[in-house]
Amino acid sequence: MLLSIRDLNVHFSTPDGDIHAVRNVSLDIPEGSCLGVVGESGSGKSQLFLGAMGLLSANGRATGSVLYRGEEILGTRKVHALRGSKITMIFQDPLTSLTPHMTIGNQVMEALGRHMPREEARLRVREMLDYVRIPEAARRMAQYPHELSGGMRQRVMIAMATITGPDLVIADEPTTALDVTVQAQILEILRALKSEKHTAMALISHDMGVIAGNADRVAVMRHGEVVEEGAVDLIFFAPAHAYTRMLLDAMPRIDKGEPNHTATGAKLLAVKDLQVSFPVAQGPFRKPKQLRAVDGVNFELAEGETLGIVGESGSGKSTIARAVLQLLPANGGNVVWLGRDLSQETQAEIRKARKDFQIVFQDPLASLDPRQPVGVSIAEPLKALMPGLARDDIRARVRAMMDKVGLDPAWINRYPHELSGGQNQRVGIARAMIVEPRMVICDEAVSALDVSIQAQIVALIKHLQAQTGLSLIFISHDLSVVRQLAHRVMVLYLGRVVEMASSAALYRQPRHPYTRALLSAVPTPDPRAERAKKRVLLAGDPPSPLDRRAQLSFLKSRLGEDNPDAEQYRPQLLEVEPGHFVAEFD
Amino acid sequence: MNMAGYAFRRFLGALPTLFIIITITFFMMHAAPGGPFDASRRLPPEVERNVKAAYDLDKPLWQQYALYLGKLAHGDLGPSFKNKDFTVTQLIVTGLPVSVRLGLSAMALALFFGSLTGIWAALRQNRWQDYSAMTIAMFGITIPTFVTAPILSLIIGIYGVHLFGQEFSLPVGGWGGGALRNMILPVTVLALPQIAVIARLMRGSMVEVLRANYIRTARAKGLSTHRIVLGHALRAAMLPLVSYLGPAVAALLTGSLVVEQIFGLPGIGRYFVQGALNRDYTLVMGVVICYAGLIILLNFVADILLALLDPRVRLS
Repeated sequence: MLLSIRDLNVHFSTPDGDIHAVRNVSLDIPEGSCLGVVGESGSGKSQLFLGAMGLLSANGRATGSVLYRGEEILGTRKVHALRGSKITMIFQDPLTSLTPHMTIGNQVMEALGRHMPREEARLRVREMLDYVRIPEAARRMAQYPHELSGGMRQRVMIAMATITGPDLVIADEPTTALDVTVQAQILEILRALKSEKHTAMALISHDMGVIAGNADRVAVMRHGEVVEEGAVDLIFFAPAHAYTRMLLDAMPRIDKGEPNHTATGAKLLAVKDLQVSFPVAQGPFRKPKQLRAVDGVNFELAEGETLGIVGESGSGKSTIARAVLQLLPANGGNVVWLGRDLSQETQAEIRKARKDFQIVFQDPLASLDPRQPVGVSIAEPLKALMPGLARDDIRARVRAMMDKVGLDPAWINRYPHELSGGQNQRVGIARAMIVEPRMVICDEAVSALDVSIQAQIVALIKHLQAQTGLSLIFISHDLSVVRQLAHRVMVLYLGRVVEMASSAALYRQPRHPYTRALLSAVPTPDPRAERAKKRVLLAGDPPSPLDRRAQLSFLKSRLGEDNPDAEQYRPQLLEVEPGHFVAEFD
Repeated sequence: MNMAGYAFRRFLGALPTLFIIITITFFMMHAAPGGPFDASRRLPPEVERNVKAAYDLDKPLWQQYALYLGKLAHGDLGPSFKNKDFTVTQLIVTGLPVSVRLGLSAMALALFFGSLTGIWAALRQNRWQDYSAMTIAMFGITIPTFVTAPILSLIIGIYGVHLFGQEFSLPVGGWGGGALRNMILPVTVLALPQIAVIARLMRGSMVEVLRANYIRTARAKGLSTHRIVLGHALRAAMLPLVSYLGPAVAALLTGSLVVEQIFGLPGIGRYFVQGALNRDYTLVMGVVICYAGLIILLNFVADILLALLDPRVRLS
């Protein structure tokens, strides 16, 4: 056995007392195999391995036994020697996990140790960067982490963790902050590592889909304990523990379930040729470049309808939300709300109209005022948009609203930090819904939540919509979640629509190559399907939104034209079937 | 980024600031009651009139201001009203090197010992070594130089002479042409509070940086503690220190007047006080311009250092 963890316990001493983060965990990782460790936030899955490797923060303490090839390493000097050479780690969020002021070449080289001539070390680093498919490795070595994209940074992390030829790589949420297409590329590299170099792996993730496609065995953790452990097929197809079943059921599925059918109602919102650009500084002496975040987007929204907007980071989805709500000035185009062109109206008129359109933000804790009780936060739009309500009336409405979104009205005086993430998001929804709007924009409203909570919030949004006939614009990078809610889906790529269709048509018959790549990149919580899946991987980095030619990535035949800014060279939307629009592609 | 171009832009940006400082100081000095020739022994009226005319003090204020600016544009800071045989430029040129040497030596000393203490305390965070270092540092900050200077003089300069004889003790006053022996006491006194401030700053930012994810990565790579501190943590931890350093060096150069007075050193700090008390308009103006220029310059140096330390700053 490569690594055996026996009765591992991790305690943290905090001002609030002792926290027992990992409880009596025993796990085995055989040579060359991949153990998936799945659990929601706070399950102790990361602390388990940090504890085993002696990397806990100063107030943490690990007890028990960790055997590396039968030899005890927990709390011994041996673990220092193994760490970084035979057992290496890949962390989440490669931006903060790489030293900002050191070139990536030096950071990877440092992992090699100092027992090698510099030229040889440089060569080894270059080979390794090539291996993790970093283009132009030689040039990249002199760059700093912030000059690389998220996907490239994660590749540097992987290079750092594999250059010493480890027996075991511990990958802690290695793809969590990344776009799905980038995630697919990174997972492909990790799979290659296992099959080509026969490296064992501990893959820690909250995403059952990521686990399904990569793990040989799976351990499910909850509240610091392993509730179930077994072969991957067993865990997914015959889960024994109720918690495992609940996790699997809560996973939004991209491949299952009946899509929502198109809702038809009166037209509420029409967005015509919307354009938003931001100046991006190019240095002290150069003129700022215009970044076209949203570049000519058209769509309509009917009463009671849910439009899903899907796109990766930099696609302009949040910018659309802010421009529609007039929270951001548009550079061109119109936003027509109930026949009124909002772009022509004064701030005062728009403020009055705000009663009818509200927004729910991504990070529930950060978007609520930490110094205000949640009741006050919920009541605030009422006071601002429906003046003249009596105090008692406001209080009654707030309590009724809290009840509606599944919050105990007795919590009216609690503060955001006293509530959980899911409860705070319910506050966010209550705050948006209290003025009885006709449209709510949910901007990544469930992205920061654990899957079980995510499922509850999605159910709540659906329920509220059924009750009130509300229209929704549901913005997410997660295609599976959008599938649960949307009647129609719009796919964005670098500020332009590449495909727009009914949910049924888009998920069953995607036409545009980008949509196809997106859909195939989403991991499904089904090990057999994942093993059989033919992946459509996009090559290289997602292009820069500043590059005006990038929009032609799927229409390369027009790249030769001299002026990429000219309207006629940009891909146009074609209606291939009634209601199904696809941008031109080669 | 083009460093020379950046420096030039910063220089242009500093001109309006300097101009405003000059203007405000000029009018404030003149708004203060009295003038350079009001002494306890009054001059005969006609003599006073002649003297004032010689220095253009009989003209309306705005005209004096315009005349002063005109001379300044040619680099002429004017004559000192009180030190009759010297121009202001001469006084500054003789005094400034003394102050600069004092200030920079004190800062170098403070940086070395302060950083060392701070890092040492951060690595022993919340243990007794950390607490005692930080408590001592708190004393260092709160005790003013006019207390430490006489005490140190007494212990080392006076008792030292009694105990070990003249050659093994340090002089308690005088410049001695900038001899090392003469500098040790004043530099130490100047550096003590700075050591304390820097130690606390360094400890705070080092503790913060040591919690960063990339330090965890460095630990996971199996690096030794001193490699983690020197290679990964120190540069990031120095950023707040460098921001502090620009204004702090300026404050050391300008704030050394107490120490200069106590140890009888010929720096420019004393001109500031004497000039202000004597209404020596040109001298005060000259010293203010000199200080303002130094502060602007040192802040610029701090910004450049920040950019060198943090590659992310270089782009924006």
